[in-house]
Amino acid sequence: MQLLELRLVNWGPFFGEHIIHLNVTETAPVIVFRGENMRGKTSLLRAIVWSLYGQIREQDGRTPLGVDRMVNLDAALAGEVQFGVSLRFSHNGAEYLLHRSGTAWEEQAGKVAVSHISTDLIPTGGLPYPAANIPEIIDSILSHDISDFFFFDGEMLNRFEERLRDDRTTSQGFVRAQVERALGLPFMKGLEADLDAIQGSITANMNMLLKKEKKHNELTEKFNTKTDEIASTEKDLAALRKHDSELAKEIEELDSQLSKVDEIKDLYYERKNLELEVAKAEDTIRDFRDSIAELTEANWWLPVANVLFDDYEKAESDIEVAEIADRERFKIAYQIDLLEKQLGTGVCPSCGQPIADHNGAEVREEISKLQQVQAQSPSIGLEDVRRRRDRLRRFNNSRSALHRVFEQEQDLGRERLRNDKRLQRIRQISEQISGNAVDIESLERNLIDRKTTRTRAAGLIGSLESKRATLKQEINSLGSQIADQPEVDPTERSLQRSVQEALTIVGNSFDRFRASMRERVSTATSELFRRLTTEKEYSGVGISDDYLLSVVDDQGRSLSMISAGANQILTTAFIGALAECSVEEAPMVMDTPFGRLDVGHRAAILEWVSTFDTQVILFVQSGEYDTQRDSHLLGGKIGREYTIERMSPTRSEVRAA
Amino acid sequence: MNAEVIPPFGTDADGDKRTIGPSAANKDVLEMLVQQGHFKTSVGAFQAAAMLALKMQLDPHTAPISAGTMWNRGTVSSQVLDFLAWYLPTSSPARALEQLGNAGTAYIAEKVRSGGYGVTEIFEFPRDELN
Repeated sequence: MQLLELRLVNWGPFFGEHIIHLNVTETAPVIVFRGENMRGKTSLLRAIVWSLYGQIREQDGRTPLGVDRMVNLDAALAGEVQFGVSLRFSHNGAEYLLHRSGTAWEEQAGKVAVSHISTDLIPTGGLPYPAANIPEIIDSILSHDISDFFFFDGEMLNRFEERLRDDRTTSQGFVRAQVERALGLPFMKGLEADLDAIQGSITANMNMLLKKEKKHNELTEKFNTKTDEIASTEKDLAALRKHDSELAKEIEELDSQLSKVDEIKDLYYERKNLELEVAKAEDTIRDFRDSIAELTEANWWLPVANVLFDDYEKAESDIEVAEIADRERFKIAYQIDLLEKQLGTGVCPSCGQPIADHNGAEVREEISKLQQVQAQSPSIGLEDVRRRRDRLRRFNNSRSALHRVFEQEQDLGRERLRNDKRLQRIRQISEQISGNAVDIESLERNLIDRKTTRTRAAGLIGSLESKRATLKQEINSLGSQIADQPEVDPTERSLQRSVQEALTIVGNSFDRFRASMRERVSTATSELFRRLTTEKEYSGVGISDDYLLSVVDDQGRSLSMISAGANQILTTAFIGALAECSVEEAPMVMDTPFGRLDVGHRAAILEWVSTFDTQVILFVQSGEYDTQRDSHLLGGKIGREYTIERMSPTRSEVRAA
Repeated sequence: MNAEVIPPFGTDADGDKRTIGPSAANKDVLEMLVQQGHFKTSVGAFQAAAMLALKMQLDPHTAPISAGTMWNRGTVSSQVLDFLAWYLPTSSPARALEQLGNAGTAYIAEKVRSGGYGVTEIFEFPRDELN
């Protein structure tokens, strides 16, 4: 399939009619649309998807988007207008024109209503196909089921990446589902079910006949019992599958709701963590306050501490002075005592020599002087001062209490400051996310809950499926025994055997095809991953028998942890491989796919695109693709290049670059 | 026989007060000190205020008058009363505590009401002693 021409009428920001040529050659199959954000790149991708399938989705890739949202507002304001998309494309040598259009008008300010949507598919030189057959025809060219392997945007890559990084069981289930989509296994499953029903009906007819003739009772009884058992198992399976499909829808819905609040999710959790920190800090603050209060209560003297410390030091110094004075007084008293003895005895008490009369007057004068000094020396009550010092000692010994109060008050101040900052940030975040009433936590809890339930349901489905397979084998064997009975009509017997063989073939093919497709997708993903990755320690990718997709190192070991960049490349490689393995030829249309990649990986993808000989359409913005810098990476494969120019907020134009 | 000396109302035989209490305005200030987490009890805050008055040499006679009984002498820390009796010295430490406490509380009232101060700032704990 190759897209040849896109014609837009009042579509998105494209007012009036716009014709964009898309035909390319094998040697230059790449078309580049360059345009900044809000110019209409996604509107062009949606135009292609809507024209093919009549359905489009919002940016999140999940939520259905009404086509009324794609009608050009300027046109709708003018009154009742036509809008639509025509896509000319070729497939297997034939050309087709697919035209989807409708009528639109402004129902109320800013709200457009649409009606009379019609679709035409006209092969060149032929008659239009009946409208009812168009979906089936388009599906046979490029099935809607696998269209997102070909028409994708950055959001779809994100979604795939999320799924691949999900828990092991979910991720395996996702990989298996994608491989089955690429193979078209849903169709084969349908075929097997149809054959099963035919065989059941034939065998039941034969069984009725035997029962009517009351022959081979034991065989028919067994057949009936097993048939009842399989019917009940299938009923249980159907109920479980219904439950599983409801769970899948709920998961999809929860995922969709969560993706809408992606931007505020980080803020929400930041606020939540801050709230927890605030609560913890308030406990700490309370502890500090209690501790300070206990200290101030027990150490009531703290306000006067410096006076008491000074008093203590003064008492210490008074004691020292008093002790010196005491010693001095003792010395003087001793000297006086000696001199008085000299006078009394007339003999020197030290040397025993007699004292001359004239010396007596000198001794008396000396005594008088010493008595004067003694009278002048300070008289301090040493015991009083010591008692005072001892009473003050307990305060001086408790200086640490003062330190602790200061320290704890500083810690309290710091903690309060930090908490004030936290509270300020909480207020800021609350302002930023105000108006969003989504309870993210509860959504995430529900999501985990649904996923767990779905995993349990998958286990039950698996065991019921194996029970059903055993019952089916037993019924088939009983069916063959019934068919062998002489009373059975030979034509019915032959039909039963043919259907039996067909079922065996389909059953075997089913597993074989799936295994071989897994192999093909695994090899293609690995090759593409090696080509795109810039991290040389990764040697490739493998999909195990149980559909676990993992990057392997040069020793062939699966790596449980890989870098975020490698994960993005793994996703791109997986989608590329699914596309390569699913149909022979289809255009690859990518809307801003490089926004999240680093320069190295972006270059690797552009170089990979340059190896294509089938049509590739790239919608890029200046941040991810620069003509001067990047066009050489496409190796001269650019067949067409357009720019999308913005004329006004509601009008854009596509121009050849 | 000597006639028995009857002590004035509200005082013991030793002439000291049996009960003490803050002034009406000071009562609020003391409660705020407890609410702000600086003290566990208002009597604890009152005792600290008395110590501040002592340090600042506030004139106890200019202290606001007690608005009535709030604590019995037994409620007050005996260590505080012993300290005042010895330190001042005085034979009526409870009376001294009441006067000093009211003077000190009135001194810090403005800071406490503003709510923006820590206990070390309100009671002017000696920071120099930390060095």
